[in-house]
Order: sequence, then structure tokens, then C-alpha cells
Amino acid sequence: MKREERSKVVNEIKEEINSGLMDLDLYKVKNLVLWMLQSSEYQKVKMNDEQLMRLDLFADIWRQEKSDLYAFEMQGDIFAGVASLDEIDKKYQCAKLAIWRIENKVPYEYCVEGIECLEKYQYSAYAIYRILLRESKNHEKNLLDLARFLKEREQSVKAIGLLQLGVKKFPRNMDMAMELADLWLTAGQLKRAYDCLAEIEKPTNEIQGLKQELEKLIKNEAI
Amino acid sequence: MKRYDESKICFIICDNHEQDLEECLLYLSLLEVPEGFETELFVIDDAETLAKGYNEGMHASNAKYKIYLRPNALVVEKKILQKLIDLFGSDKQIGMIGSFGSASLPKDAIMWHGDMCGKVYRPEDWNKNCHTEIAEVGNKYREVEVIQGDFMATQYDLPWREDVLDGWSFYDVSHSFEFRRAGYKVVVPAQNTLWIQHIKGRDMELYHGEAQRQKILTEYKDFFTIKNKPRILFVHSDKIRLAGLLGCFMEMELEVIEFAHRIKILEVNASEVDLLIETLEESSFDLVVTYDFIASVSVACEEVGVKYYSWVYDSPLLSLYTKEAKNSVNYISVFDKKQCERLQVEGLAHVKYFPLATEVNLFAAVKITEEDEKKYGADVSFLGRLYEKRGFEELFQDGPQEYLEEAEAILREKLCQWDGENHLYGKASDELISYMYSKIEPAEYTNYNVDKRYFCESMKLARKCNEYERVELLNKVAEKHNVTLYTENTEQSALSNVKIHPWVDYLYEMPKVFALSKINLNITSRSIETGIPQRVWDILAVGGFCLTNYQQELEDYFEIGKDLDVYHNPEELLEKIDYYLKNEKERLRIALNGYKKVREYHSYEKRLQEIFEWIFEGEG
Repeated sequence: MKREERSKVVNEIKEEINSGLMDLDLYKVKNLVLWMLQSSEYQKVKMNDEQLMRLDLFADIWRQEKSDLYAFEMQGDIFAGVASLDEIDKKYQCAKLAIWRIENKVPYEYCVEGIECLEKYQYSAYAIYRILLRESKNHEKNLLDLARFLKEREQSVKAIGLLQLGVKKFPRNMDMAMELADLWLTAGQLKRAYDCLAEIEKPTNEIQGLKQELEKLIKNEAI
Repeated sequence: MKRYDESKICFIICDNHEQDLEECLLYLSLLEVPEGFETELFVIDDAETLAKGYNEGMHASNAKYKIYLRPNALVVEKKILQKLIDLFGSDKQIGMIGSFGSASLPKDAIMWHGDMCGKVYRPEDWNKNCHTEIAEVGNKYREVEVIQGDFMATQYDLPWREDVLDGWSFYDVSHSFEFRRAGYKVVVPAQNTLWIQHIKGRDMELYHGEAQRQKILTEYKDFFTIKNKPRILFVHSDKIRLAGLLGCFMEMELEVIEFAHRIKILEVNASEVDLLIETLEESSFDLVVTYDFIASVSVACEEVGVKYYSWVYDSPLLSLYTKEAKNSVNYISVFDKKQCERLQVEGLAHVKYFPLATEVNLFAAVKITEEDEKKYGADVSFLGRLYEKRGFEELFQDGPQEYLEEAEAILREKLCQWDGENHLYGKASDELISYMYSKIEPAEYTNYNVDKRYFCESMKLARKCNEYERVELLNKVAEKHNVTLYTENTEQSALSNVKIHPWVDYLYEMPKVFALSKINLNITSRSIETGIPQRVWDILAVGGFCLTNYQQELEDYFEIGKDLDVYHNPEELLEKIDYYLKNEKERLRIALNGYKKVREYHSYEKRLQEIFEWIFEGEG
């Protein structure tokens, strides 16, 4: 398709999407996401438009949020608080810049600002994870740093969600597994903490010791 | 005369109300300011154009060092100011520094259409339909033609060209050229860490500054006049794995970009056409090039109005008998004069005869080991298909015997006779042709508007003739000599005493076969009526001795008996094999002559220069 035609099609599609995004409810979101999957015109033109690619990512995140168990910690989903493509851009940018602030080690108060932005937009752990994978330079390190930051900010549920995704993606990262285990312990979930430590390949003596302790505690609990 | 403060660094930002400014300023506030230095900041709101805004900031500050920054650019390297000062201090000729740039700006003035150097972090795909590189800078810095405009640091003030720049694009190209015109260097330093992180990606849906781009091309034409070589998009098909042309373009130092997707050669695919159109519209290519003719490529080029050149090395090429082949943008070269005559009456816009050429440098550089000598050494070799099982017999299976007899008679009449005359085409009766055509699967010809006689003769009769001739010749030679055949299907019951090996790799093994065989046979496919097949050129380019069937066009380019030798029939072939196996010196002398001739006159580069003259200067 030539550029002019594509531009016209993109503008028309965006108009339609924007009207669909107003006063969103679950039903409307579902219809929008279905339409995006089924529309050959949309599929053709989205690759050349950053806004549409961002919407595409949001739709993908939404499908995952709805189908997986990440929903347990959510008050809203990725489309919460947006009523247009421009608002999706703003919401996305907030997450991106927050992630970058932690990665670029800006002073603490500015990182806090970034996290507050994530809270304001009701980002789920899964959504943060997806955006981090897309935007971050060093995924592993940044994910761990972000999770620790969330833990400090007493957002343990979100931190756990993020780390669960992290240990799956980076199974060899011992620090991540330890961090998750620690959070489970704090939450009183001994079995889950034990399972985390059990996943560690080549555990240190310290970790072995911890595992043994946990085993005893779990047995006692069972009794 | 303005007095500059050598201890001051000024940030100048033109804000066109993007939401990124706040974040940009945050990162600026975190930078380490070198001892003894101070910084200042000018944010220009509501500048009519970027050039005006930057000039305003530039004049307002007496800082020696100025950093022109877009709000989209986050300066993440905290020690950047010291690094800049050190670099400027190390060489007073350095006028401007950027975090990445282009050492050779493409002739369309769009930096990301060519190879770049430096360090950049942008998460989205770059030029997703084309391969371009961003090279690291190894030494202290690399001098470039232009730097990218999100971050531009200067140690001298030069006015921004408000007269040329009336928008918000190409300011980086303009200012880089201004610095170079003034005799300064524009550089990209080596960056161990990332300096600049961009909030926004590149505008994926084409930049909006076409009018601006044209002004740049006019104003700075002195920088672009040396870039008069064509800018080429090379497209690979799904069936052809050759890259000699591409390699040649690179050796000729042309701006050539490889299209990232392999395009289906046998069908017009709408989504592939779309991808091509996008790429062609996004960039300014002078020419698109493929091996053989790809209809989808032609459709896309016709849509956008870009010339499309097909280097045809198959004969016949049925895709030249499609409606797409008649598109006005097509430039098609064929290597068989007779083929060319046939095509010229088909209404193709531009079709011309050019002989093939060969990879003179690559093939001449082939290295031979002892192991190669054992593996590929031979008295007589032939590298080629035998064209068995091409559906000829099936055509006559249930039909009247007389048709098969007629076909066989035509094939046998002048089998293995090469006297420069045509003994195959135009001989079959209309009845035989109609019968054959009725038996051929429509799928074989539906897409092509090719004369049915020519289709039957070239695709059926000629191929069967190839099979007969190659088997006959190889068997005859093998009665007296050691013959090695490299072919597709190694189960050849029709051959006796011939050593059969599987296909060899074109680039790495084939040259060794040619180099280590005392005599390299060529038996031209009968569908090549007068032309010289690729095999002959390649044998000579390696320095091999070529003994070929006579083809009319050989005498246009070679001295027979001096650069190579020919045979007209099997008896002559055997005679010459006997002779040349016994007369090594003469054989080697002929091989050397052929090698020199091809090197001097028949490289890809030489041929392409002639072809480009035809395409761009309208010769012939």
C-alpha cells in the first residue's frame, strides 16, 4: 500500500479506535482486542505506526492479564485509566521512564516518583514486566532492582508478581530466586519460599541450610 | 567581537511542547559539572523553527561550549561534560560532536538509510525492511559526515541556516555540513557507556520533511555531487542463492542495501509487494536489482516509480512472459541474442542483450590444498544437470506413436552437432506442438503469456535434447578417459564408467573443481540458443581450461583455440580431449589466456558499468 493511502487508513483506524476507547468497560475492551486480531487492514498498517504498535502491546498484555492468575493483585487492567491512544502513550511513557530511572540510577526521590506513576496508572506486575522487557537495556538486573524497589515501597504483592515472572525468565539468577523466597517468607508462605530455593541450581551451603530449616518448619506446620 | 567564556557550557533546548522536556531536564540536573566550569540552560519556547530557536539560544549565551539538545534525548552519562571538554581540547579542529552519525551520508540525505557509527539506544527496530549497521567507534573518535541531531555539542558558534531550514528536520545534516564547510571536523567519539538514551523512536511512518530534504540536497549539492553512483536496493528471491552482484556493488562502493526478506520468485504476493513499496517509499533508491525477474518486485517498483533491473541468467526465463514483465520501470538484460530478439517483440519496455560475467576476484583467490587435489583432481570434468525425468515421456504415454516418433526424429537429427545453426526450433509440426501442449499441465504455463510452440520447444524438446546429448557425450568420453560428473541426482543408470559426485557449492567448491580438472567440459543447454552459459565464464575466471560445444557468440568474445577451445561433434570432442591431455603446456597456456581475457573484460564490475550506462543514460 502506498504511503498516502496507508496514512489515510491509519488515521481512519485511529479515529475508530479512539471512539472505541472512550468509556471503556470489559465488554468494549474485549471487542476492541478481537477486532484488532481480526482486522487485516489493522494488521497491515500497525507495523508502521508507533502508537498502534503500543496499542498492540497493550492488547497483548490485557489478554495475558485476563487469562493468567496475575489478576489476583490487580485493581485494574492495562486499559485502566485510558480513553484514547494519546492516553495510552502517556501511560506507557510513565512506565518506561520509571523503569529507566531505576536502571539509570537516578536519585532515590526521582525513582520514587516513577514508582508512584506506576501506582497511579494501576500497572500490574505483568504489564510492568512486559514493558521492562521491551524498554530496558539490562533486563535481569533492572527487573531485580525494580522488584527490590517495590518491596521497599511496601508493594510486596507487585514485587512477588514481578519476581515470579523474573525467575521463570531467568532461572539461573540466584539473587532473584532468593529475593522472591524472602518475600514469600515475609508473607508467611513457607512452602512457596522453599519451592523458590529448590529451583536454584548449585545452591550454596547457606541456601541448603535455609532449605533444611524451611523443610523442618513446613513439616511442623503440617503436624 | 564576542568574548566567549571558556569555562561555561550552555544547554540549548527548543521545546515544541513535547512532554519529554521534564525528563530531559531531570537528567541534565544530574550531570557532573567539571571543576571550574559552570553550566547554563536556555529553553526556547515557541520557536518558529528549530534553526531560529537554536540561533536565539546561541546568541544569548557567551559559553564556548554549547550543547543543542532535543527534549527527547536523555543524557544518561553523568561524566559526559568532562568527556566532551577533553575531546574538544585534544583537537581544535573538532567543531562538533555527536553520539552517533554517518561516516558516509546516503545520497538521499537520510542518515538511517546508510551505515552509521556510534552508540544509540532506541528499542524499536531500525529499518526493519533493510539491513543497516551501527558500528562501534574503536579509536578515540571517528570523523563523520553528519551527526544525529538529538545531541549536538559544539566548541565554536556557527549560525544555523534559517534561510535553508524552515522546519524541524534535517537541521543536523545542515549544521554538520556548515561545520565541514568551515573546515572543522564533525566527529563521533568512542563511547564505552551509553551517553544518550532516546525517549522516542525514529518516526516509523516516514519523516515529514520532504520539502526540507530537497532544500538540503540543493543547498549542499557540493557535498552530494561525489555521490553520483546509484543507490541500490538488492532483493533476494526465495530460490536463488547467488550474491555475486551484491558483492560487486559493495566492491564498487555503491550505496547498496539488502532487502531483509526473500521474495517469492514464482508468484506475485500482495504482502511482499506491500513490504517492498514501504521500503521504496521510505528511502530514495535509484535502482532495485535482482537475479532473474521477480514479478512482485516489478509491481512494487512500478507503483513507486523506481527503476528495476533484472540480471537474467536463466534461459528461457518464463517470468519474462508475464504482464508484469511489461512494466515501464523494468530493465532486463538477457545473455542470449536469440532470446533477446524473441523478447523484443513481446512489448517489454527495456530489454537488452549483455553477455554474462563472472566473479574474477573471488574465483581467482581460490586456495587449493593437498586434500582438495585428492578430492577434486580429474582428467575431464563436467558440472551440470542431466535433465532426466522432466516429463517428456509422460507427454507421449497414451498418445499416438507418430507424435513420439516425430519428436524423437527432431531430437536425433542433429544430436550432438553444434554448427551454429538452429536444429530444434521451428521444426516440429503444428500438430505435434498442439498435441504436446494439450498434454502439459496447465499450471506449467497458465501464468505466462508465452507462445505455445516456443514453450514446447524450449521447455520440453530442448530439455530432452540436453539429456540425450549430455549422456551420450559423457559416455563416449568415458570409454577412453576418466570422466567426473558433478550433478544433482547421483543415481544415473544411463551413464557407464563415469564417476558421479553430488553437486558442489558454487562459491567454495566449484572453483576447485574447475582449477583441478585438466579439462572442463561445457555442454550448453539447448534452451540457450546462441549465448554463452555461466559455466564458461566461471571456468575461465578460475584459470581452468574450458572445452565447450560451439556457440555462435563465443567468437564475439574469445579467440577459439587461444582463450578456450570448442568442439562441434563428439568425434572432435574426443580428438581434442586426447590432444589436450597429452599437451599440457598448450592447455595451460590457453587456460591462462582465457583467465586474462575474462579478468580484463568480463568481470561483474565491467559489465555492470555498461549496464548502468544503459539504464541511467539511456544508451541503446
